[in-house]
Amino acid sequence: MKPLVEPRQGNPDDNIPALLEAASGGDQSAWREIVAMYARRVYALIRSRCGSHDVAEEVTQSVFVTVATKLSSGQYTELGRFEPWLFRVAVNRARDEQRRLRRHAAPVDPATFSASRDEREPEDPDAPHQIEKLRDALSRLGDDDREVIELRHHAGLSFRQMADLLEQPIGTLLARHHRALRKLRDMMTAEPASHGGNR
Amino acid sequence: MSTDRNDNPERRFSTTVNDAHRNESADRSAKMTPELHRISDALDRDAARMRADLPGTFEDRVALATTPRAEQPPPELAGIAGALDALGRSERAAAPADLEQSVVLASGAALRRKGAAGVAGRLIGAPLRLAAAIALVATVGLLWYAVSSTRPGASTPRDDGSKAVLLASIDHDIDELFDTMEHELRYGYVDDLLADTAAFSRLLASDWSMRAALYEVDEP
Repeated sequence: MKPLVEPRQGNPDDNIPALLEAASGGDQSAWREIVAMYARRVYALIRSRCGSHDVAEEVTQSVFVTVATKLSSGQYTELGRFEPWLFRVAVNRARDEQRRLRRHAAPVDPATFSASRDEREPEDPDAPHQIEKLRDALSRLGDDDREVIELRHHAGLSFRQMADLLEQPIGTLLARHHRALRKLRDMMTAEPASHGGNR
Repeated sequence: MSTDRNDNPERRFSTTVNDAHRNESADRSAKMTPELHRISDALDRDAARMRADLPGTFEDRVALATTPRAEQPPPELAGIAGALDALGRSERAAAPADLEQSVVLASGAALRRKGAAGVAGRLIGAPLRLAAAIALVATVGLLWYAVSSTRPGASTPRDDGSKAVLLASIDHDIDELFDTMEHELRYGYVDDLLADTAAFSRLLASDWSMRAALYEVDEP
């Protein structure tokens, strides 16, 4: 099942109201279509935030269970704003998961840490070195900056959708995005020795 | 401190523009026929409606309208933005091949519960209204039964033919009522169900006099 629509291309919202109406009436094929449109985008957002592939898959499933439950019980009231609503659910779930992971985080042996980082390589063998470096830089970005970057580039939301989701003016989000891009660019050009907590 | 509003160059400019606009509008109004005036007003209203329908705040719209390709990062950040797009694509592509299937498997049940018990779900949400509907239906049934059966103490109907026609029409009405109810129950239209049963109940009550005359029974 491939995503039907690339993020930020075309206007998937055109078809969404009909699909949502059908899905909320129990139409499984409409629901499958919605999942095909958004599952990978939700997954990418959560994986970037939580790091783990397994956690990302589990949380993605949980997000869609929530959405299906709300749709079927008539609790979805954000007519015409499905994407911001869906990603708000995803962001909140990712935050919950992050909090949970932090609560249960045990001190990690540096050797284990580097081994776990190495485990990522086989998953994405074609990823250029720059991508890995960027992923690393992103993980060191502050939460607010990271949120804007992930919503924009991983979830593929437009600034208008992000404004709906975060309840901030578009101008503010553009400024936040530019600021986060600058920080990332600076991290990417900085010496590796300068890696420090940027949170 | 001067109070002359024209002291402020910005305000003076704004005043000049407004004055010019007013003069232009006045000129336009003076030259327009009533028909053109109506068209102009309609266009103004339409434009105002379109402006009002635009999403976002006024400041957002101004920012987007006045910043060419505002969503595009500035050239010096285009490289990092492009790399982030590539990272996003990479993360989406790194999802397991069966992600969609597993999500549908996990979440479809929530939808199926609704699909299978959509009506029940809505009815459970309104147990009191359902009880009221059942009570109404029972009342209608009892009324119908009371009308159609021979009651002790009641006289024989004057005209068997009229009675047969009346009973047939009530039977027909009852059938229609139950068909409608079945449809309304199936799709969970509890409010419609209540309204229909209440309407039918009122119809029976209002027809009581006629039936009482036919059956020669006392009015309740």
